[in-house]
Amino acid sequence: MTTGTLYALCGLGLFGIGLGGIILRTHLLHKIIATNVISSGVFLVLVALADRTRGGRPDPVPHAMVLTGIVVAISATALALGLLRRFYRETGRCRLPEPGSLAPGSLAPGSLERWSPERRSEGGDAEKGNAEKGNGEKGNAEKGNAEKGNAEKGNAEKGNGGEASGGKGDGCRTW
Amino acid sequence: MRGGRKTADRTENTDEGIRSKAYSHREVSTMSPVLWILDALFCASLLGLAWQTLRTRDLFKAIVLYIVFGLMMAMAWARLDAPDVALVEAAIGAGVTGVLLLSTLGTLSAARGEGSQRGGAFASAVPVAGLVTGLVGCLVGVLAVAVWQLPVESPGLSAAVEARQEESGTSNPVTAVLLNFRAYDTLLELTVLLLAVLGAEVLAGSEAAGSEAAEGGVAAQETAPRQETGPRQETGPRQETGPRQETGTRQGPDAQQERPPAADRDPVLRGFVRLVAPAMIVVAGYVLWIGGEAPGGAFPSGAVLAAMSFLLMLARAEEGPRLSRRGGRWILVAGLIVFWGVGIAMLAAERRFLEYPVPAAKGLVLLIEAVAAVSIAATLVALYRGGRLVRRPRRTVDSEFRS
Repeated sequence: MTTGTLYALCGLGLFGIGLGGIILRTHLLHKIIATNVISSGVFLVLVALADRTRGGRPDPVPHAMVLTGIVVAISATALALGLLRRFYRETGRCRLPEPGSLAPGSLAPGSLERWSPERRSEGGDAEKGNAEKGNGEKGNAEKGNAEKGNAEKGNAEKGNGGEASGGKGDGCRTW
Repeated sequence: MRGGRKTADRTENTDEGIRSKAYSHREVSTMSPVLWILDALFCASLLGLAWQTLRTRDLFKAIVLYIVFGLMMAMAWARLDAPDVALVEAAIGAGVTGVLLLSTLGTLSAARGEGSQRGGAFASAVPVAGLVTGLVGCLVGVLAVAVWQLPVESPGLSAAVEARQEESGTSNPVTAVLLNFRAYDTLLELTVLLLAVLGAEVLAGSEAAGSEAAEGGVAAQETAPRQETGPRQETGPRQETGPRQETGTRQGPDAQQERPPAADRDPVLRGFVRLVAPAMIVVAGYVLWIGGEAPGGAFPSGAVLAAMSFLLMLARAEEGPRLSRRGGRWILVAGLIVFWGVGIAMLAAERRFLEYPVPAAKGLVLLIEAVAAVSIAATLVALYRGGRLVRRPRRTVDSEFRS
């Protein structure tokens, strides 16, 4: 096996790991990282296969393409992160609802209904309080009511603090 | 057997002195056992890091692992005789991506402790995960067979590049491809960067406008981490009722709440940045200039400049020239304007778009690269700041890094 082949196979492995990650991970930030792993794998295959020239000097065209690709990848990453931030600001969540992916106990029954647009536009506090209650019961029932109470109190106070984004504090933890 | 044949070929060609003079200082990758072990270790650690990055439930850990992964990738590029790619990967792939990911994680204020929750991190139950793993494995297997069956040798376009290298105005083949032979690619790439900035600004926009009055024009997402770590919480009852009581994993931000006021913090960092920032400007210029004949060029140079800007922001460096917003926007588009200007000038001179005359090629390539490097740096900074290059003074960003 040549160096090029070895790294090309490694790139394929990275592609596979990233693809699995993008499907199986639910947190959107994790999905974005997975996308980057996929692109790294693709770049690795391209450059590794450029190494098959006679003589020691590899083909520069794939190298230039990968250079371009890295910069485009970071643009796409930055845009995706912007979308994620906006999504988080609008909904207080970091995951997309996927009805097919509901693991037992991960979501309270009916919680997807909170995704309707009119509920979203109501603003974060009440909605997030619900979400935390629902998930709190399922996720760590043993921690009990005191914690939930604190979470809600925290949210309410933040909301009353007069900050524009104050009510949308920490929905990401409870999903 | 394949490896043996190729090794023989390569050694032979090396002896014939086929390699170009610009690249002759580099080793040809003969597959000696030591190098083979090194390569195998590289590949294994790349795969392992990627696996851990996507497997862990702690997002902060995932990001740090991803940065390490990017640095390992840079070493792999160097191993594959792609030093230009290695430079860009180290600066942009690992560095800037890591900065963007960390700052977003800071925005998703509590996301860090989130991983400890059950049932949320992975999409689905075991059968689905098994199915996905199986299908992905099949796909990768098929692709691996395809890669394995590729011819051992394939000259690609290297001969064509080499034949016209003299006319490109640069002796670094990668720069020649990027800025002369396939200058369209780079032109459109700069366009993509600009589009990403516009998208980021639009996405950050509404709340930025809303918070401008209160916050002095920060991009909106930067206010989010302050809810937990910022000075706002240092007084008042919120400390007692905040979300930090919920999990034990949030010790870090808690400790930071007792930090001294901003101006007194990090004297070491400030002094360090003061020393390093001018040197980084020189390095950026050097990398830009040397790109004409050796690995380097606009993209690594722009990345170094962007890294310097990040450091300045981290250290809250107040001094230095201030840009107006309009000026900032001009800097963002300057690379594209010059690129288009050169292309159209070529049309006016009855050549094809971006077809440089041979005598002027070096100067034109350098001009485009210099302006593009500044624009790229500005773009990376703007992407970090939610699409805006310039915001008003006295805004700081380090709370994002720390949270």
